[in-house]
Amino acid sequence: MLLKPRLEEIRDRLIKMAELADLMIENAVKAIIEHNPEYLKVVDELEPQVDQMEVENETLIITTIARFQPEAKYLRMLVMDLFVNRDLERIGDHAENIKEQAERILTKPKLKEYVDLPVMTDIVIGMVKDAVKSLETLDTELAREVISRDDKVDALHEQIIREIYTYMVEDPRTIKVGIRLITVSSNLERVADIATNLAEEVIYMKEGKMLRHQNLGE
Amino acid sequence: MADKEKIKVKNFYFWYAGSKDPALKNINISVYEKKVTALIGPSGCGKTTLLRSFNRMHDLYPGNRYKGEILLDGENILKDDYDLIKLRSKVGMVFQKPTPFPMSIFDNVAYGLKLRGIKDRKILEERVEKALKQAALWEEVKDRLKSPASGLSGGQQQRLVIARALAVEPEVLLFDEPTSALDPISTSKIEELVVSLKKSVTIIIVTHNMQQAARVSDYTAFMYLGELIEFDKTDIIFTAPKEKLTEDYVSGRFG
Repeated sequence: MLLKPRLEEIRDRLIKMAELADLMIENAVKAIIEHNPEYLKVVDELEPQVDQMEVENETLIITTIARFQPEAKYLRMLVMDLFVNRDLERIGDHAENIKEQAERILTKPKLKEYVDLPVMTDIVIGMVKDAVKSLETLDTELAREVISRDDKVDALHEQIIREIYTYMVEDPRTIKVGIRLITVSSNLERVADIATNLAEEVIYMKEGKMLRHQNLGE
Repeated sequence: MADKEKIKVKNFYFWYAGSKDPALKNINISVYEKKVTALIGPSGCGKTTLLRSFNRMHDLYPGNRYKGEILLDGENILKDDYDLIKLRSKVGMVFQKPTPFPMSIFDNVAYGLKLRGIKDRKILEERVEKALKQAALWEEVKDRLKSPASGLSGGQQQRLVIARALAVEPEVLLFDEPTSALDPISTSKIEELVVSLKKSVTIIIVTHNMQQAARVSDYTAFMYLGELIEFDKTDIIFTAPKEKLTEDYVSGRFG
């Protein structure tokens, strides 16, 4: 079948793109945690690459749909590939946002030793990695497990806000950095949401079940 | 890397015997080396007429007339003194219905080679095996090469005919609706074969099945009423063609 090698090519490209987007997040946060702007260079380097890949992948997916007029599982796969492609590009955008906050955070002395931020980052990056792994093998068990981790990220985000709030209340001079740190945490929380979307997309590919907004109207 | 031109058609017209109106009008098109070019368009648009011009099949009927140029590797094949035997060994053709000769599988594939004076049994065997492998038929027939070709299924016969065309090592292969007489599974085998053959040959395919053109070709030419309306990469023709007529045709709003 002529469609198969194209599907594999698309899958490989998406996995490569996910690796780059992951590296962007990892380095953007590492710059803050280790208080070292060197890591931000990686983000700058990868951003145009991820953007370029998004455009190329989109063209490849659309032309594949046009040429092969896929049905059933192949249709689900290609339409979800389009979503995955856009999701991954958004992860890159969030890394870029974190980088911009980092540039400003690093002009000031470290507010505190970060405890929750590294934990949250590890979970978020793990979610993206496993969501992509589930895409590679269409492993819906792993995808469901990724979705279940999102609550923990939300809880950590709340915790980070509460803690930074106490610093800001004590000393208004920390507000500038504090707000930026909360923005970083918000961006990470969004990345976890995107990882959840990726996992839902994998489940739709494999099972044809839509999991999004399941509690709507309940 | 830019694709290399194998055939260039310049200001080409064609008239069937006794007809005042040209069947093809001012065609200009490039066919790229080791790529698949599909000619699409509604019935009677001239796609088969154009295909048959590439190896001067029209010369078999008196009174047909060409004007303009068809350059194969830069040489005009429409010149009066162009050697047609040479042309047809360079430019092979596969038809709509499989046309095996009433002889064994082996002899079918060896036919063109013998015609060229190759008699050495060893060489014949090697070339027949190579051609059958290229045509993805070897595994299915290697144990019954002496059996009559008529015993093969339609899809196998079509691959046999392709092997026969490949045996003489053509540079260009013309396919005229190669799957319209075949079932879906045989069709998909022939399509895979077409794509794999472009490693060694330049391919031009005429098909009324638009989806087939979309699946197998690198370039697509859309023809209408004897004219070339649009020629571009297949990816473009099927996603964002420039001409409204092409858009209407590929999106099925025709007629």
